[in-house]
Amino acid sequence: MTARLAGALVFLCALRAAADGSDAARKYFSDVTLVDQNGKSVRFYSDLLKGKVVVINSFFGTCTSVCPPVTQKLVQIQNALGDRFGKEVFFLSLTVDPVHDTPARLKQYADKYHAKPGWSFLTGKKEDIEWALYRVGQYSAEKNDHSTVLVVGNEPKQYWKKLFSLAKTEELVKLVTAVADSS
Amino acid sequence: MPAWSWTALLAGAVLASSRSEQRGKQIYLRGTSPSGREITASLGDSAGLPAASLACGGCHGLDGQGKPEGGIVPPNVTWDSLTKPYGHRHPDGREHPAYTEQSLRRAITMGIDPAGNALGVAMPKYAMSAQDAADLVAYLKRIGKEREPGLTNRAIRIGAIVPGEGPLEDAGREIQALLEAYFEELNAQARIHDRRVEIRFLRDPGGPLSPKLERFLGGEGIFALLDARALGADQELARRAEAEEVPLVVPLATFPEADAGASRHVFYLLSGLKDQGRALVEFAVRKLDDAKPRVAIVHPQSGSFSDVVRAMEEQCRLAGCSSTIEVGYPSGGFVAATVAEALQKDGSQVVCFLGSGRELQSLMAETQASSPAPTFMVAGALTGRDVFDAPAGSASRIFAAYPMLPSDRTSEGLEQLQALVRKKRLTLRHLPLQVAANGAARILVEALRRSGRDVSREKLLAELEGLYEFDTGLLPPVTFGPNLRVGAPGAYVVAVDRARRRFVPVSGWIAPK
Repeated sequence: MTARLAGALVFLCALRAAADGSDAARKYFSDVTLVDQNGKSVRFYSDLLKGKVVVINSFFGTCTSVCPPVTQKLVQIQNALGDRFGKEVFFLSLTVDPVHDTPARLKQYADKYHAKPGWSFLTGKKEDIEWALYRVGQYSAEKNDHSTVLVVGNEPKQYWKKLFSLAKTEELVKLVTAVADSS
Repeated sequence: MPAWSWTALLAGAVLASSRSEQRGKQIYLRGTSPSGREITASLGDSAGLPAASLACGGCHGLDGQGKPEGGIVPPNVTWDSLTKPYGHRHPDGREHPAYTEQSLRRAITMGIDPAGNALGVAMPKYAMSAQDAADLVAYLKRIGKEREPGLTNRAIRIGAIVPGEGPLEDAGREIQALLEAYFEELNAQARIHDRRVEIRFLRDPGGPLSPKLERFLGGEGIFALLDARALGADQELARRAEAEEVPLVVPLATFPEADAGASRHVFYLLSGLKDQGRALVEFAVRKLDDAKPRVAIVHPQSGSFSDVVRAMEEQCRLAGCSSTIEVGYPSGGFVAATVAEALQKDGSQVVCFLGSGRELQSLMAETQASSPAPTFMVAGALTGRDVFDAPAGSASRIFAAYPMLPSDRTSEGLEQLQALVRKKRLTLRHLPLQVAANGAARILVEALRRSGRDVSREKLLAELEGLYEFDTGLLPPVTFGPNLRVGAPGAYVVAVDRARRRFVPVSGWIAPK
């Protein structure tokens, strides 16, 4: 619990650091290399976060319990966002099990849920994906302890929120839209 | 009414309820109805989705106790827990009296507990027929009390598939005798956490295995399978093991499926043609005189070979061959002259040959006059002992890959085998097959031991998956992993001593990345 609290504090402090501008943000989030479901290598900050509105969650492909409902929720948010999805708002699903979740399996997972362009399922070297998870407050030592919180951020506005992923869909959509529209 | 008819009636009643439980089990574990009717799950305010992706067992677990994850703690849904007379108080403060069959059906379909409260946010509402709901409740009364197939307090039942009628019938008998002796000895000595191993045999006469396998698995119940055939675990068996969720250990297979995503329950000990082919290419490039040879891959045109050819081409690229061509020929329609012409035209220096021993002989005779004559890389499993009948003077240009060699056998491993042979008066006329089967049995026993007294198929899978450089004393060391289902993915390369009709090892273990 203490570790989790510490993690949350680091996250909040860091968000303040991010407010100093994009250099500081890049330094904080880092440009570790992740690999998406299409096998493409991407830089965490520069390619996935910079200048974007993002919804970030952690999951793993072989999880049978809480991940399917959370992914369903994301599908509902994706559909409710209509044209804004993939243009203004992007989803980043980070695996907590990079050993099992190869890009090919993430592709299958993405297809199963009819994920649209703009939704990246991310894996990578264990140390890289764990660093990315840690930097958004989603790291857990044991994969079954992964978070069910969605981290929603408007990177250029430096505005971030945490939402409980299984809340009512309409509430989630309202809050994601509010983050996207924040000025 | 005579006594016998009461018995018959009772038996009928038990049978009927167990069928309902069986149907309920499918709904619980897979989220699908045996009737074929759709079951949908809706989460909170959302529209219904097929329940297959939100099956009960995913969260509440195989044993019904609930698997906490991500801060969500799914309640224990065993009947004893649901019907506690003093009711429940959940961590979020929600309270309700004990469940009844009726209130449980209502909870599943309408999402409210016996006190009328909404259930936890992660619990979907399921739309299913009255029959399906009744079946599911019948299963929930049983969950946590059932045993896995083939497992009792005193014994654990292993099924072994051995060659039946045909050319390998004698080998089948010898493999069976060795496995029987091995487990008899185990039972007489250590056992596995005080359980005996009962071994049952299925003789495979060739042809479709499914109907026989169904009876075999369904009959007494089999906890895990060992495939001791020479070319084990064809896709039919692997798919069956996957569908029935039976752990399956396979020592020898031609086309093993390395990806655990496709067959989580199947563990291949030794490499198939794909890894052997990679090792051959690696050997040809790194060990032979020509540093960057022109390589040809000659193969029958059949679907199963295409992955092998792809893997070899990739290895050629990685190892730095100067060129690679592919020469396919119709299965059973090998014409040596045509293939030889293609090789001649390309100027191939190394020929990776995936045909039979006879086909190899005729191709070698045809290419003997070429200058320089190509070197042939073959898989021992395909060419067998026919390589000893290669045209005189050309045997030195053949190298064969084998997934194991006698040098893998340690003195301790051999001693145990020989002690068994002496004690039980066994014969070892089919040594490689027997060694492979015995090695597989040793691996299965090791993983069962590590699974503990409270063993389950899931635990056995986890323990097999955790084996690292495990040495059976008979086979190359075996390592599995979450994404690794071929235990020793490499091969040895041997040369052919035609005069003495024997193989001479010319490489160490080659395991290309």
